[in-house]
Amino acid sequence: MGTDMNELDHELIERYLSGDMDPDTKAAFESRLETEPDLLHTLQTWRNVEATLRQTLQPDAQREELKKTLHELRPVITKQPAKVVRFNRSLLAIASLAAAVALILYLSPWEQDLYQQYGAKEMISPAERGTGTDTLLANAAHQFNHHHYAQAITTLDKVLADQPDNAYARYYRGLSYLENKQPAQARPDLEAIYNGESVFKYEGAFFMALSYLKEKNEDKCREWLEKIPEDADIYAKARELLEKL
Amino acid sequence: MSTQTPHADQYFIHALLNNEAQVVGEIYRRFAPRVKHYIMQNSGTADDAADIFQESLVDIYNQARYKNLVLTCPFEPFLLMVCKRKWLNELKKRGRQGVTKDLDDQFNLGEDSFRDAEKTWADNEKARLFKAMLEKMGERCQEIIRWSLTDKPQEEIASKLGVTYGYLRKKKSECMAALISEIKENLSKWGLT
Repeated sequence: MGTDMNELDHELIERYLSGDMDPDTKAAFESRLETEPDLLHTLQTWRNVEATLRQTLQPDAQREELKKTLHELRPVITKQPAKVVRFNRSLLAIASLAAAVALILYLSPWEQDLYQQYGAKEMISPAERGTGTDTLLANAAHQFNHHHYAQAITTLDKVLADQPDNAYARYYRGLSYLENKQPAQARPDLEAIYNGESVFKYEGAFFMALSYLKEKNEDKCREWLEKIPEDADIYAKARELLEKL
Repeated sequence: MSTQTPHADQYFIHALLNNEAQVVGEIYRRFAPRVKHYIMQNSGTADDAADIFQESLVDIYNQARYKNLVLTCPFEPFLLMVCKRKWLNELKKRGRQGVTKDLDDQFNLGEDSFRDAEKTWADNEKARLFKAMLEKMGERCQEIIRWSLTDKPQEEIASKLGVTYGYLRKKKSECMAALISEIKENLSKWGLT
């Protein structure tokens, strides 16, 4: 842009582009454009900036819809390829639940601090089979999902009193303690999960790591993340967190 | 943009324009792995790849919707070129150099297609620059420019903003001149010319 442009020229450009010029002024201005390349160049830039901004700023509902579709497809790129594992029927529900939890963990990477980013977000209610235990677990899921972690702990205590081997209940009690800011109480449950053979085994290790992260004990956090083998579903997340530490 | 007949892959562009989820899904499944590989080979993460891929598709949408982009080569090399251009610029913005692995050898993009891909990236990057510079301006200038770019009559805008038409015109020309000067100063920082 020329340095000899002045306010008056700017106003002339503006008037010319908005069609607000009488014929004489317009003719005079156009003959200047032929001899003053700087003026012409500024006029062109001006027109381009206006046109581009008009296009950028105008709402485009179709574009917004496309963005939603693209966002939904994001996991195609960010998610590690899933391993195909066959479970028997009773484990299937739990497996899909673990996948759902993994997805939820994955879906919140824009949260600020690391614990927030990787912490548990949702407990999936078990399929309704109408047994007393299932009702309790459904209640616990409801409480957990509404962030009433202390209540969820009480409910899960009842399940575990009756069924101490219920890994699902134990895992979520651990997570409830963790979310309830009681990492030390969370650890016995999570460690038991890690030492067991349930589908949550390595999630147990992952949340053990997070319990230490919550206490800013990065060494211990790292130590637990290292326990997660490459073929575990949570491995990618664990590596990611390790890198951020 | 070229006046040749569209390449058969033009249907991918239609799918973006019409938000056809199934075909857009196909774009991800078929072409994303390569982009991801390229970006991860060149100091990026999977998240970076997802951002770049998504933004590139929106850029292509914009170019087709507002600038009549017509595909004259297969979609894949075109898309990869847009993604690559975007990633190189992102690396530059992050102050990193040293891109080692290249895509170029794998694809022979004709000159026209190369230019179209480059233009798709550049036009969209410019739009982002213009908007970013506008957002840096004072509130009054932003208000005046934003209103002026709507289709409302200038007299109506003046009365809405509580000023005379003459004042609005004068103020708008000042604001536009300031915006343009700001844009010119930042062009090269954004990798544009």
